[in-house]
Amino acid sequence: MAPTVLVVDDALFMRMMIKDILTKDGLVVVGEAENGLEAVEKYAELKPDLVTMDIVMPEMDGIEAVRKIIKANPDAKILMCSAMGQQPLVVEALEAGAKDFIVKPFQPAKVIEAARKALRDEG
Amino acid sequence: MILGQVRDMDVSQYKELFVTESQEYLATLNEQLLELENDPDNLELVTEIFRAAHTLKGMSATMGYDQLTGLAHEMENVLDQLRSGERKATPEIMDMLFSCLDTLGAMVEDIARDEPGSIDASQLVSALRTLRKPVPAVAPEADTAAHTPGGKRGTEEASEASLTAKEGTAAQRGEGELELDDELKRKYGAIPGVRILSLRVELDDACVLKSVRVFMIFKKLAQLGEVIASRPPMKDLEEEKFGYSFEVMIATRELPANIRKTLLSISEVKEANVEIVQEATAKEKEAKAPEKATEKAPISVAKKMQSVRVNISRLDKLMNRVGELVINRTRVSEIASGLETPELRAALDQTARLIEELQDEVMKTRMVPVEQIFNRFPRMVRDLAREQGKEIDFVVEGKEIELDRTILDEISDSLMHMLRNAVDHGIKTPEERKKRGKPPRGTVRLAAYRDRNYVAIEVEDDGEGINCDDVFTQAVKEGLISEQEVGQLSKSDLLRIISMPGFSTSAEVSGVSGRGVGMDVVRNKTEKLGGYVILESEPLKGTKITLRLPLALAIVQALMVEVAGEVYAVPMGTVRETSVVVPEDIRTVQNQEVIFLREETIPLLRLDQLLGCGHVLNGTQSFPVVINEVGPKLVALGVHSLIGQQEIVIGTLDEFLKGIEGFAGATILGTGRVALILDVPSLVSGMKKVGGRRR
Repeated sequence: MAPTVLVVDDALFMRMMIKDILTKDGLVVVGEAENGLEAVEKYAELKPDLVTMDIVMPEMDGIEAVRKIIKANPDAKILMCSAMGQQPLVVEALEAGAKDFIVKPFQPAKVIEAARKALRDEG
Repeated sequence: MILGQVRDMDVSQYKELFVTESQEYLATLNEQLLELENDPDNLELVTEIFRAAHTLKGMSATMGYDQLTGLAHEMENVLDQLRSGERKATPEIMDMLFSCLDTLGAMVEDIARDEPGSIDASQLVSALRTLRKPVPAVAPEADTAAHTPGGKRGTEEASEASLTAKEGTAAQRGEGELELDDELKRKYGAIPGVRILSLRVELDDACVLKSVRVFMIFKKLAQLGEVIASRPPMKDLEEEKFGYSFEVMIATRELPANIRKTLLSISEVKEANVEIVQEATAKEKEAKAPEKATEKAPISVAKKMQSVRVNISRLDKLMNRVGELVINRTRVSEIASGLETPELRAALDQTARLIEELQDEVMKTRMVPVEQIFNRFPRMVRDLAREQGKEIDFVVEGKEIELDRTILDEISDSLMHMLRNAVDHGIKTPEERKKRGKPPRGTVRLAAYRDRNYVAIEVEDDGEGINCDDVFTQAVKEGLISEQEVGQLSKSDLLRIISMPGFSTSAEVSGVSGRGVGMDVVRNKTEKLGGYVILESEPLKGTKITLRLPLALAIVQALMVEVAGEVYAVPMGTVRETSVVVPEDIRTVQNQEVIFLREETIPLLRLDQLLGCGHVLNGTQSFPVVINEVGPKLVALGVHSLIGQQEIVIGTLDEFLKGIEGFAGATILGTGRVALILDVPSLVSGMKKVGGRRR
């Protein structure tokens, strides 16, 4: 069974791109969310193997979403999607329980590496 | 540039999506900046704006559009200062942010046209940079950009610097041996099973957020043992003052091989060398192997359909096909009506229903909220007002109302014209307004609302208004109307006069309120779309111009009528009801025939006379009338017979016939015959030409 992924980003464009990268590597994107709130809801509904999570989003930011998801699902595997210059935010997210991060502009190889590693991660 | 390249990936396929979405973000930004200008202390708003700018930057960087990324980055920095309270949103800063948006917009346009890079934003960028308050240097090496602490939220200097200036001296600091003092060695050596390992970790040279990667590595290591020392020191690692490798000393019970494996399992760790500095004293404990099987709940949820972006030309084609289908259906129905085949009837009814649904769906797909063009105007009004030193509250209502995409595109210029007029000529400067006893701030209102099968779009101002007499005098001067005519003109003729070709420019020159500028164009465009214009104005109180537009183009419901053997279509948009008139009911008031219907006096237009078919209706017969409602006016069209309601596909008249007043187009009937579509609004506005003057 191919691993399932929930892609969270407020930009459709970004979601498309991440989705394409992951799909090409054989992962199945089962859901998309535009903000943290939606991400938490979708996570509960879809229970994906992996989440890619943007940080800066309306409604609820990615870090808060990580906290909420991890609280309910300590084993959740979340990859933060960061932009340059967001080091403290990424650290915050990692402390909240995110597994790894990828940096925009995305390099497909790195995205896949992070995804694969996170999926293999034993916690 | 290192940042701007997405390696091993073809991004061109995302261009269209990028352009559309960027434009949406820019539109939102524009709107939010306008809001911020009125509410400069709204931090929540600043955060939202920051977020939009940030997303835009991320998107551009992903696509490798360096210029766009750079400018968005500078903009983001300024916004960050607003967010942190370092700066206030002064008008100067707002102007600069607005010009950022414009430049970003132009860059996106360039990208859309496949001509990126033609815009020079260097001036703007340096202006933005000077705007940034020079933050007192934290580190001594202020000449390189590497002085900003990597940990500072919202600044990106550190990471960027690490890319550009990474080969500098800091890189060398990672070299050399990491020494451990004896005291520490003794301390850990005393704990049974604990060994001290020296780890040399090498990061992928494409790693951009090194400090975070280091954090992850240290976090992992902390689970396996205790980090004793590092080279370069922790502070430098945090500030990314190192090349791509560093050394860590760790006291652990784990086997060296396990440590290495764990390190390599972290993304972007290229290599990890583990050396034993001091072996464990007592017997090794079993290395814990937390090989927890990855729990998987394989759910295959079908991906929910969200939305698809479709090129408008495809929808146009689809619409045309549906239009043809409608004509054909009518034609088939007509053929079938001559045959007595119940099965055929039933099948046809079914087909008709399906076509109707299809048509409905296609129409719906073409509908877009007026917001799409309304959003451009607040900025325009703001800029115009600022230029002319006027204070204007711009109110937008009914953004969510939907209209056919093509109609919306067509009226965009008209709305711009109307708004421009309202600002240029309607609203005066605060001083002049005060003189007239009005509040110094003027209000311009743009509103859309549904009105049966129409969408009304109003542009209203509380400005000067239009003085009818001035306009009429001007029209006489221009030779557009005669002196005698003026006596018979009333306020309701204002629109007709103002939108007379040739009136507008002259009005502009002589300064008579200037309202005529472009009104002929506005009116022509609107009527071409099957809509009409209503102008209401009160001197010194204000002006309201309403465009009433059909919801959708091409296919409309029409009432088919017959006059002297010819079939005509009356679009249902203006039809209120039908009735039958007996000759006794007809009165003549001031030389105009009228009918009385439930207390209302309605002018009667006999279509046969109007269309030049002669008096076919004799004085004794009763005949049907179609009561039309055009704005506040009612008119009864007298016809010979009513045929029925049907859908018609509007065909435009060619150049040769276009100028003829009273017709909105032509349609092909099921029989293959052509029927003219009556343009009721223009018949009404031209009413005085027929049957004498009214009132």
